[in-house]
Amino acid sequence: MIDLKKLEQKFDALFEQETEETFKNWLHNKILKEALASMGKGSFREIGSIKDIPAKEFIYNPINILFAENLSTLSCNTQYAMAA
Amino acid sequence: MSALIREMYHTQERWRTQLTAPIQTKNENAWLGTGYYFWYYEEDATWWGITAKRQTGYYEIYQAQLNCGNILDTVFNEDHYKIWMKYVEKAIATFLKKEKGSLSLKYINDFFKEKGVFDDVDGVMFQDITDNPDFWIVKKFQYKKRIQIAVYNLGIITNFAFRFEGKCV
Repeated sequence: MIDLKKLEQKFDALFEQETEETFKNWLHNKILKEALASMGKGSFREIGSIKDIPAKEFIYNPINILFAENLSTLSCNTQYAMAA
Repeated sequence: MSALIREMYHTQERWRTQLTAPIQTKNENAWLGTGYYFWYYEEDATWWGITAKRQTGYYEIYQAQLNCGNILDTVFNEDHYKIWMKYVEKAIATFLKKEKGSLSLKYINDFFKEKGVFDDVDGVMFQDITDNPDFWIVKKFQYKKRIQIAVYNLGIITNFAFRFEGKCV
């Protein structure tokens, strides 16, 4: 059985430590890592820049929309679905 | 850990070789974050195969026994459900003040998981309502829950085995 008190303590500790900003920083890195992982193994060749994309768009837009104009060769499965 | 064994179902595309273990989801919209997903009902696993696992034109259903004694059960356990709701809503209020509705639940769950909240939890069970019309009594009214578990600890999965395959539509 799960120890619910311990679980609640962990949740409470999380919310004491984390803020909207730290969450968004985590999210930014998470989505970036997932985007890179989706490309598979290999080496990178520079074909464009993402530095001008606002952070908010980077976090919330599907990757194929995000990169459509900047990195036209990049595609990604963005099918909306519930589970694996 | 108390033993609560459930027979559950895992759906994948049919590939050249059958699986000997479940595949961890990479789906960016998977509700419960990164994990090994199983369906409570075989018909929901089948419906998912027919309608969503279409990459090769065929899907496969696997079955396994899951020890659910140490999962967060938001479907059948009221205390678990209340805790779950409390902290998901707190996460929305704390982290997504202006962007409510713009982020999938996956990332909230992944955040909880990566920050260690679920270190002692083997998985999370959750439900919604299926869009399968076979379960309509009247149009758009579903009497049956569609239940899934995301398993974080592979150790609770035993007797994983191929069950059947089918053609997508």
